[in-house]
Amino acid sequence: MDKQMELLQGTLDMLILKAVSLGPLHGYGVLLRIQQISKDRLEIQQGSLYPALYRLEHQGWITSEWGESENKRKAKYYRLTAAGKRKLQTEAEKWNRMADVIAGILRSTPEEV
Amino acid sequence: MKLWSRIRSWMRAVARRGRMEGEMDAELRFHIEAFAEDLVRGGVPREEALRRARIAFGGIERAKEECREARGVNFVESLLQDLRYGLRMLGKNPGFTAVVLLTLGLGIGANTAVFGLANAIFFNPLPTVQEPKRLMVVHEGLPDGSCCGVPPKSFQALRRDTPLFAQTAAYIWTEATFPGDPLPERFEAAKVSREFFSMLGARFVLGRNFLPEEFQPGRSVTILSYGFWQNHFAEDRNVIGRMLRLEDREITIVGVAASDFDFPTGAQLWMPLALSAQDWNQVSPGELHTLGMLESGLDEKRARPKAAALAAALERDYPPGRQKLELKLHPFREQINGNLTPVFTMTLMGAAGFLLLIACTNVANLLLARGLARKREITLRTALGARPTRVVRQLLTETALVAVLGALLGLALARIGLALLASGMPAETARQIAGWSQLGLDKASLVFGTLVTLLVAVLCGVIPAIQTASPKLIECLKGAGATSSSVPSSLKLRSVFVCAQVSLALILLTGAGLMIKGFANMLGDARSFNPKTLLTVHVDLRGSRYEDSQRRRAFLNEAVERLEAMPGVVSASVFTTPPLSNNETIWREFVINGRPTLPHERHAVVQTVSANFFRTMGLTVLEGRGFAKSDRESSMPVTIVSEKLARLYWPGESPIGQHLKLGLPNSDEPWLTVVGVVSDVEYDWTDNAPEKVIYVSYRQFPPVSSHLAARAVGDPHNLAAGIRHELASLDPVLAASDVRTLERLLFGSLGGLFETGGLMTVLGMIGLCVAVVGVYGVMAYVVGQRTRELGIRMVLGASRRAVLMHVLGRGVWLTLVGLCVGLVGANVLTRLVSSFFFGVEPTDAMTFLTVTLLLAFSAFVACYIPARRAMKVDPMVALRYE
Repeated sequence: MDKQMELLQGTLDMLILKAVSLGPLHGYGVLLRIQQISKDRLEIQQGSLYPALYRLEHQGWITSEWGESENKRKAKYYRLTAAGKRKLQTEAEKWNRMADVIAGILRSTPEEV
Repeated sequence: MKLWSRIRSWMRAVARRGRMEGEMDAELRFHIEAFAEDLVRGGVPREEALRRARIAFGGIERAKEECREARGVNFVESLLQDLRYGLRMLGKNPGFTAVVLLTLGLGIGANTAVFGLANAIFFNPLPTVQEPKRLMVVHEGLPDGSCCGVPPKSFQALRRDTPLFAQTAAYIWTEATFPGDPLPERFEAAKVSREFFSMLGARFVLGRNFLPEEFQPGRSVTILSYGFWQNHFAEDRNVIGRMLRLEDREITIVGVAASDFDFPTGAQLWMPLALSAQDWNQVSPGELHTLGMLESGLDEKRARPKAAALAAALERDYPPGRQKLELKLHPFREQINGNLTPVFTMTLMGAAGFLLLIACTNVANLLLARGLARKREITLRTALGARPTRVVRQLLTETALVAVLGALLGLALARIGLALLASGMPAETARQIAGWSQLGLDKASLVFGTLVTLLVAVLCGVIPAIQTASPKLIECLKGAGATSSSVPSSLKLRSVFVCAQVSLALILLTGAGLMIKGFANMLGDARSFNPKTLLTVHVDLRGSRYEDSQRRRAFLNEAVERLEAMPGVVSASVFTTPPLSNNETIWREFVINGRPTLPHERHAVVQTVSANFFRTMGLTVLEGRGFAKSDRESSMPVTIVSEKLARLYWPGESPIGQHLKLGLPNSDEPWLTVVGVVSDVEYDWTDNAPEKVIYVSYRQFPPVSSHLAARAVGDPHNLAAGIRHELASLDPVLAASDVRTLERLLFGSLGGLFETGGLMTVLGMIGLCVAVVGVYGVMAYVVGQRTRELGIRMVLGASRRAVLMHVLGRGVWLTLVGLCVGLVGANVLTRLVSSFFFGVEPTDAMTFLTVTLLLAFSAFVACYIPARRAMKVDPMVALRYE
């Protein structure tokens, strides 16, 4: 297994939004989904996951309701709202632009400067 | 909606706190167990799996706390916590709480009540009008500054399409006399133009507005006021269509106005203003009162040039030779209750504002003091990790709590105050004041009170909170802060507050003192007439029966004789204008024989009286003679002039034997011979000086409208019914229902003075008390803080006297500084508002001196009590005080 990378500041919210955009998930499911998509390359502090979920819900990007988990237990499921969808889109665009710019800078050679 | 989801989340957080906590627990437990199950599936024993899952999760309590914070629970949570804590703190210091709440309650209450008063009678006296700012009273101005009603012809022109007014309306005061049982009764009524009710937004509880065709002469319909309907028809809903008998004709009731419509103020019923085509073409100023609703977007200032242009255009319609026309616009709400209402309400609001400032300073001071006492507690919190913003927030929450409690007390006080004010006004005067009936705590006053409370919370809270929340950690923990060493910066601040309080109180008291002294002077003038024992009745001899002046003379002669024959009456007299009545004066131009006269050059009040009027009112004949029985219709027309007029036009010489004539030089009025000079008396008190007066005899010039007065021995009220009967036997149709003492009559015009003077006294006294409590509070605190120091001084040999002087000196010094600043401020302010004072100079030395001494003495007492306590400090006890 590759060494896990620590999450960049402020990116957890975006990842959670992305994770629940693929379908309703409970908190543990969000964790698994992110790890699964990232192929376990990202290290997520489990303790910071829930405050982030609560914050996103408080801001209206996601909503929650109680449902039944795969093994027949009560679990709280999170779902993306319409506002959250828009938010995810803009955040993703912002991120991509930023990544391009940074990558461009890092690729630059002495001749280009 | 983002904001909405947040609020919902907060509300859920507060309302269902327990449930949310449970859910949070369940959610986290699910996470850990699910994680552990996955591990178990991978072959880890269950116990070990749970342990690993917990480790991987990290601090559960911290996560929970972060969740609560993320959801905004913490904000609400800590707010509730602060409130609970604040309430506990208030309960623990009942003395402090009582003083603070009372101070705030008085400040907020006084402001709310005064605003309620101002709102009822000034800002919004006629609540039915949609945009009172655009409503103007239109006058036709004369070049000398006086003005009169708009001529009907001009009103017709205004009514047509003009760029100035969206709508115009006119009315005329009139009276309706009903042949009552047993005596006729007279009611104030108004004839109104067809736009009147719609423009002023009147609604009808019954019936309808006048129809256009009812504005033709000869149609007899009326709309009743709500009060008239209530008092005379007991709210009978079948009143529409009934006939009312007036003295000379019958009229049909077509409507009843809603209770919130009372204009012109005091009118009991309305009739259509039905003028003939000829009357509408009149160009002489008449009794027509004109109102105009400005076009939307226009205000008084921008309308002025348009009014001038309109006047110029109107002038072309007039016959040549008529004087230049000028249209004057006055805001309706400044006119409706007399032009002094704005001045009075502004003064009261200003005074209340000062009171609020004093109260706020006082509370801020008390909070600072308490902040110092709590220094240790705050320091401890800070040391344990509370952020300064968190501490400030807690202190501000406490202040807000105090402000809200103070506001509740204040609103209760305001309510009581307004109720007292409303019940203190005699009904006949209250009826004349527009908006008086709506006096009370309405929505606008409540909003105002809330705003004032917010302001108070900020004013009193911020400085003490910041001051208190930034302690010097180490020093305070060492225990110094809470006891002996004074904290210099805070004490300096408190000293400034004390000075400010004293100076604010001085300014407030000076203003109040000047107003009250002026009013007292005015009322002193009124007292010289002995108004309590003089019964007056208004006699209106308008109409066809008295068109012949001979009949008016006969009636008045007979009436005076009959009144004088009544037992209990010393003398009876006739006059057209009661002294100090303010609005009944009749101004006329006059010319002096043998002197060139410019138009509008000389004006004087014309007063028609009987021979004994001067004696009745306590005026003295200074030169020549008074009127005599020999001055009759057939004898030479004579006049007696007031001292002021004589001095002005015949300086250094005697006016006796000179001739003057009322009206313009070419008028056909008779020449009057001056036979006497009489001492001055004020008729119109708002201009602050006695008027020039020309007196003529009622026997030579019988007036249409006058007052009959009877000087009574004993209780005048027993005479009232007798006077009515005498007059009724003389003329059964004439209504003389309003027999009252001159005192009551004057109250109608001076009532505003009583009210304003009384309120100023109350505000001034509250201000004084609050300021004195403030000074006392600081001095007591200083003594308390310095107990140990004073003890040391005594141990080292300071005499008790020296300690007393030392402490007293500080208080006296602060008071002196405050008094000096206050004197300068009062001097500047009273000059600025000198027009607010009647019958007194704004620099009146007596008032300044009295107020300064009063305040100095009170402040001295406030310093002396703590200083005495300091003197009695037992050195041993003081040293053990730590």
